[in-house]
Amino acid sequence: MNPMKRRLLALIPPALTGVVLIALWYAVKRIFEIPTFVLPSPDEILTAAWVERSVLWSAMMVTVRGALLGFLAAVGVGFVLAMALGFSPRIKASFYPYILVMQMMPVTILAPVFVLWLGQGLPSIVAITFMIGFFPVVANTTMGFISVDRNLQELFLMCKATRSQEVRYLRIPGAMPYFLTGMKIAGTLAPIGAIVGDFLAGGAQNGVGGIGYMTISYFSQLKTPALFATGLTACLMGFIFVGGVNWLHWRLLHAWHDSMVKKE
Amino acid sequence: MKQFTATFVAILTLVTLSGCGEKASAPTQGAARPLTKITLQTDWYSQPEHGGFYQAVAKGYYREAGLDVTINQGGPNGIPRQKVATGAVEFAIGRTDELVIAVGQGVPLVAVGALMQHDPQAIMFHKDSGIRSFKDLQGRGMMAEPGAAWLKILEKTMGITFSLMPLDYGLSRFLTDKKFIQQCFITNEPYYVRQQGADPGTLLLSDAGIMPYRIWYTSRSFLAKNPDVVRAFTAASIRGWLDYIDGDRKDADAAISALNPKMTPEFIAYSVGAMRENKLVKGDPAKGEKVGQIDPVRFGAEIAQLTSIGVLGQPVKLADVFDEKFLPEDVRAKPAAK
Repeated sequence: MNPMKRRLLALIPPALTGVVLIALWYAVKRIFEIPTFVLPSPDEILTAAWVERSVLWSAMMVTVRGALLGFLAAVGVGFVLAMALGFSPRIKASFYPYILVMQMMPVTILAPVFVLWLGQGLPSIVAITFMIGFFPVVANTTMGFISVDRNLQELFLMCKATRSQEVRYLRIPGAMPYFLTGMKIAGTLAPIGAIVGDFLAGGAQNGVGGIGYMTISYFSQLKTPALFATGLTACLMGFIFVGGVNWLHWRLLHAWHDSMVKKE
Repeated sequence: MKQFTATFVAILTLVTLSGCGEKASAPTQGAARPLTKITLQTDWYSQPEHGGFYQAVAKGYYREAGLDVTINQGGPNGIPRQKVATGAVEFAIGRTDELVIAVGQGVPLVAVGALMQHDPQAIMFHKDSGIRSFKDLQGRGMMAEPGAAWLKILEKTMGITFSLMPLDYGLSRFLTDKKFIQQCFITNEPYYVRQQGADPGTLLLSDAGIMPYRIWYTSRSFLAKNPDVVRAFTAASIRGWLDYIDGDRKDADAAISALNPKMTPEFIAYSVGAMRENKLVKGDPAKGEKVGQIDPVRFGAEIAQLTSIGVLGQPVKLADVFDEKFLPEDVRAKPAAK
């Protein structure tokens, strides 16, 4: 069987599941006479997505901006913080509990505080996204910094490498796979963080806000098909975002790391 | 009888689970007439703006009418329209504009009577912000309910655009920011911010020609199957409201405070005072307005306005959202006033 054919065949089971699920959806709606404002049918959702396309597109762009900035902040701050924590056990012991406290603090409670401090809109949304995304980066990267191969460390010592050389040529590359795993998790959390942030702290210029804001707006107008279409948009955005992060992960690792090297 | 009740409860459960049935039965005939169980879903936590219904419960007006009424407190996630439409509750309160929008989305709801002739909704700002009229709001940031029709009306009829932030139902941002503007009830928020030392100004939305009634409504199917219950509930609610505004409010206020301890006697006095002063409940007698009344002409004009700003999913006619015959005759708007 050629690979092209095999790939096409692999598409059959998920496509079949999709058809069955959609048929079930229509059947349930018809049999129980569920009104559209409770459960719209797939075609009603697609129609709503088409009608609201320009609003949903701008909502997605607003949310993507928040997700991207929050993600970059989480990755950047997380990496630096992890480097400090990995540098000495004493620093880690002193600060780690407080990082945990920050992580445990539910973001829904922090949101009104951010709004009070940073104002409504992008700064607060970025802060909320950051809060949701930074911990996996810190936790994973710190782990990477402190779990350097003992043999390599001794080799560096034998060669009389300076501390900065050790950090640059051993610790940072060693921590890279861990950091990238944290980044991947932050990447899946960032779109969710930005939507939550938008929901709690977002605003709207001329009635068009981000995905979270549009959710409240459509819900208050009982536009349930548009609400589902908003969910679909959020899904699409999440896939694109995670796809981007995965590509970055592959890009940075595929040339040298064991996990990416094809087995012969 | 017991078996009948059990069977009834079983059917009732099935119907409720199916999500589109009715819970209440019409009162059965006979000497020992059982009370019909009714739930009213309010739009917010218990407050004087719902006073008439608590009064009708406390004074037994609903019981006299053969109804056993439970009041469900609302809140940010109260979803009253959805609850009425799915049959989870029989009645809810809200605004006519929300109702028309829901009907435009194919949700079968019908307005029955009005608890307020004039909507207490207003825009609240700090007096020293220099805002004097609606025009002064142009381009400012405002915290309001996302998707509300009145925002669009202000935009379309007065050309005012806002940078909106969703209502968080709090006052902290208003109190910390002298430039802050938010949606309010004139019967409510101004009292609290004044207590915190702020000097609020308000612009009533009705002064911008936004004239929804605050109403109680039911679902199309409940109305069709239980016309007598709807009529009885409406008459008793009007009685409750008349009595709450002018009579002895003690028991109703005690019930309100028990459910929502934020409602202190001072606050209730302020709120009822504001309702009286602005003729919110009783309306303007000179114009023939009365407690409970919904004037088909005025409601029709509101539907026309909502149609023209393009917020309705499908066209809505007056007959789709209102049936005047459930109002007591002496409450209905006089044809002369139409």
